[in-house]
Amino acid sequence: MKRSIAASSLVVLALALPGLASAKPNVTLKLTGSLVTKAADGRTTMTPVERIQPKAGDEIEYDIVASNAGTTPAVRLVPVGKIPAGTAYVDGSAKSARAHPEFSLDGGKTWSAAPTVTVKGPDGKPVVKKADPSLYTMVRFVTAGAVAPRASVAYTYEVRVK
Amino acid sequence: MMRAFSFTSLLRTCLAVAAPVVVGFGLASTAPASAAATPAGTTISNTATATYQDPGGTTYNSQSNTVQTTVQNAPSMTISPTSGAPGSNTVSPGGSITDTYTLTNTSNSAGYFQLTGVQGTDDGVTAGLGTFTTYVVNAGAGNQSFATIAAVNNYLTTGNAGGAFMTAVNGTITIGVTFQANVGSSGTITTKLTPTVTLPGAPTGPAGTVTATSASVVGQYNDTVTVDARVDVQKTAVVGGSVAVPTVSYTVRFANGGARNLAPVFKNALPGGNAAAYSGCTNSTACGVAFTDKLPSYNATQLTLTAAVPTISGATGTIIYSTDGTTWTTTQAGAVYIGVFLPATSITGAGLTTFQPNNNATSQNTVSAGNASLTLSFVMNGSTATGAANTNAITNVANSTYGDQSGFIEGPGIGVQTVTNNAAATTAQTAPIIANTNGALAGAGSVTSAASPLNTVLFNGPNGFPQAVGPTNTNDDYTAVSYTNGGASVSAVTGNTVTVAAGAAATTITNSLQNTGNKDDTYNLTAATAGGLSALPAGWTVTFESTGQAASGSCGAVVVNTVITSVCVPSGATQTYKTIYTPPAGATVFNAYTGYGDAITATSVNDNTKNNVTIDEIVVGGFVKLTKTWSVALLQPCATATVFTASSASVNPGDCVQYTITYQNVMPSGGTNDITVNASSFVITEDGAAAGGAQVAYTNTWAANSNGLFAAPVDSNGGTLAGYNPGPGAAGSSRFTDTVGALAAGASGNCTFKVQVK
Repeated sequence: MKRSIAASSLVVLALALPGLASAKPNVTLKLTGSLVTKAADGRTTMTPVERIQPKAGDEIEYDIVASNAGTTPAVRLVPVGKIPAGTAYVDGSAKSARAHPEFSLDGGKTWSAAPTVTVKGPDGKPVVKKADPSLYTMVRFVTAGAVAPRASVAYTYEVRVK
Repeated sequence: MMRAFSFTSLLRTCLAVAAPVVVGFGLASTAPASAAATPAGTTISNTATATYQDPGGTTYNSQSNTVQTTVQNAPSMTISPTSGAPGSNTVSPGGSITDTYTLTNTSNSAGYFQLTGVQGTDDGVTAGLGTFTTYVVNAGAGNQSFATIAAVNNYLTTGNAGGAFMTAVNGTITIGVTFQANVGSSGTITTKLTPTVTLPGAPTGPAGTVTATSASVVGQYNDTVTVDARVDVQKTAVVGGSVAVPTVSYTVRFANGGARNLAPVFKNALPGGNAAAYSGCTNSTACGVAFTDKLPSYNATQLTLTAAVPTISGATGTIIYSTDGTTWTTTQAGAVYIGVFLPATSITGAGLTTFQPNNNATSQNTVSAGNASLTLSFVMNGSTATGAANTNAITNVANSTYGDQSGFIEGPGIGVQTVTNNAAATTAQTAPIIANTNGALAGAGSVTSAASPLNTVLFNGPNGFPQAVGPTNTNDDYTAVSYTNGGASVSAVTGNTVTVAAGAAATTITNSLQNTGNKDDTYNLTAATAGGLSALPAGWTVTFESTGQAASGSCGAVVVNTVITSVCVPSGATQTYKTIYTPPAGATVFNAYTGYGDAITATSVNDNTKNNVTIDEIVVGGFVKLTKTWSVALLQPCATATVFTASSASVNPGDCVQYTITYQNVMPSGGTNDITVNASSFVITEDGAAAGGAQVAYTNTWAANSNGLFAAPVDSNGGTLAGYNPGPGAAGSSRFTDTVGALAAGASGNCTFKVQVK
């Protein structure tokens, strides 16, 4: 344990050595929305939502690209995407190669990889159950590791227009 | 900007991630109860954010661009019932019904509905057992009926103050398909509806949207055709009592010959009832079925119930009465209507066997006593008026008021329970009780009958005087004629006989028949030589001809001069007929001053024991008979002669001879209103020097062999004596005339004059 702490201290020191006041990460976010159209042959077509007007039942894929334009790595990067009003999260659609998703039922106050709700059971007693994904209001991605300067990480999730 | 690493903040973050999430307590499910569609025009906006730290633990935030789009119209709808789970109604053959569909807008925006497809296959009645009537649309402005799809669609798009009837999300309208089941149809009748919903785009619809129409949905009903409740009725009438006090006894039997239960409907205006309508009432005394019957009238005179109390049997109910058909009581006095109210408990109550469907296989026109569920019996006073015994004198129709299972209230005059009927009934008034054809007025439930027992009285008499009395009674009344050959007089030849020449004309006598009985009657006519008259010479024939007759009562029209053997005379009417006496082709000889002819007998068909006779008497060759006799006062001059002796073999010079001319009208006389022949302008001419004679050759010589008229002749009837040549008492007075003038049938007289033999 001591050796690990020492190693970490070395990394921190190494990063701090330049001592430059401007040395910091600068993460920018790029959000795109695309209507997902699945043809009968299984092929999927993505159309920017700015060019279409979705209707009930349509699925929209949101893609977040986080790019570190800074000079130092960005750590503990947590992008957050909304489940817009009038839509519902498509269960299992949140994905990223470097992050795991978490969800909020209360607008970002609390998060969980598998949110639960407490309901009244048949016997009238409270029962904790997995929340329906349509109740999700936000999704976030907890990125593992650091994002090096000039590096990018992609995140994606889908919603369905109600 | 660099922030010191904060263990507290890291711990806070960890706690936030690990904390259990409680979104509610009391939800029945982890999923939303229903997911309302996002309204069209809704802007979906999304902006991503992020937090991160530098290696020093300083936290930074970042925000993405905003992605925005607008939710489009998403038309969708449902219909109930669907073709996958068709609805079902029950309709009676000939009955009408509406299959009502509910159309729900399940889109994400307000829209208007339209019908698609072909009327009769996609929309409307699709089977051949029913006939489409109308679409009944209720889009929020009450029911509106339309005959075509185009009219429906036009209404839905322009009928709302010039615009469309917009139905909100999850809002509904109804469209009914009304049809009439064909008479005699059975099985299943299918209706369909294939509507769509259209969501208008901007600017009428939500901003940023375009017009969109849903795919059509298919609704369907499979309606079962089942014969409904049907009240069968049989009514009988028995005429009784006497001619003076006639009665008519009615028995009315009711049963349910339909395939479904009667539906009690209401008790309005009935004893114990009130203004409320009772629908769906079962097993209650507050509603029921009324069977009613207007008491018949005859000749505009309302017939009345006798003192006998009407009765019902077979079911438990109340006999009701009304004077106007509207207000009903249990008081019989003055009743014009009679009826029975059966409460629902007597019709549909548990365990009842009365009025059950298919009740003992009755028919609309036949309900036997053993199959009746209800029998009403009552006795009425008949009528003593003319024609009251005619079989169609009065018509009595029973009616009912009840509901069938199709929701139709049956029977005419529903509002006041009953209907009218009388001898002069119109079509509506004679409506029978059967009602399952939705008011079609056909069938039975009525009976016509006489209003009195038969009373046959007839008279056969001279023209215009059917009740003429002959010398003794109405069977020897007579019509006498003097035969002329087409207007030419026929004279005696020998003084005793007279010949009707070959080819002579027939003679016609018109007589009258009168029916004073109480039923139209037909009288058979026969002719036979009357007692006291001579038979017509061989070859003469007797036939009857009509004088022409218009249809009246049960008697048909007859064209004038039609050869007949009988005459139909309505009750209370008089009808003439002609008896034609036709000579044979050859000449025939009659005795002069002798009555020939026939007794014409009219015999009733209604009662062949009843007949009446009139006599036709024909005299040929003149009807005033002159007979001349003489007597003599032997050895007495006329101035003193007092005793005259008839049949003297000879006279002496100076004797006074007295001639007597007896004249007699041989036509029959006596009685009242008989028709005979009276002589008029009767003048006797006496010429003592004349010779000649059309019938008998003669030569008068008293002028030459006497001193002429001794004095003025004397006529027993006061005839006017004149025409002397010269005057009486004068030498050679040989001529005079005796103007008797009128000489009635049967009357006679004489004229006497004297001459003194030279």
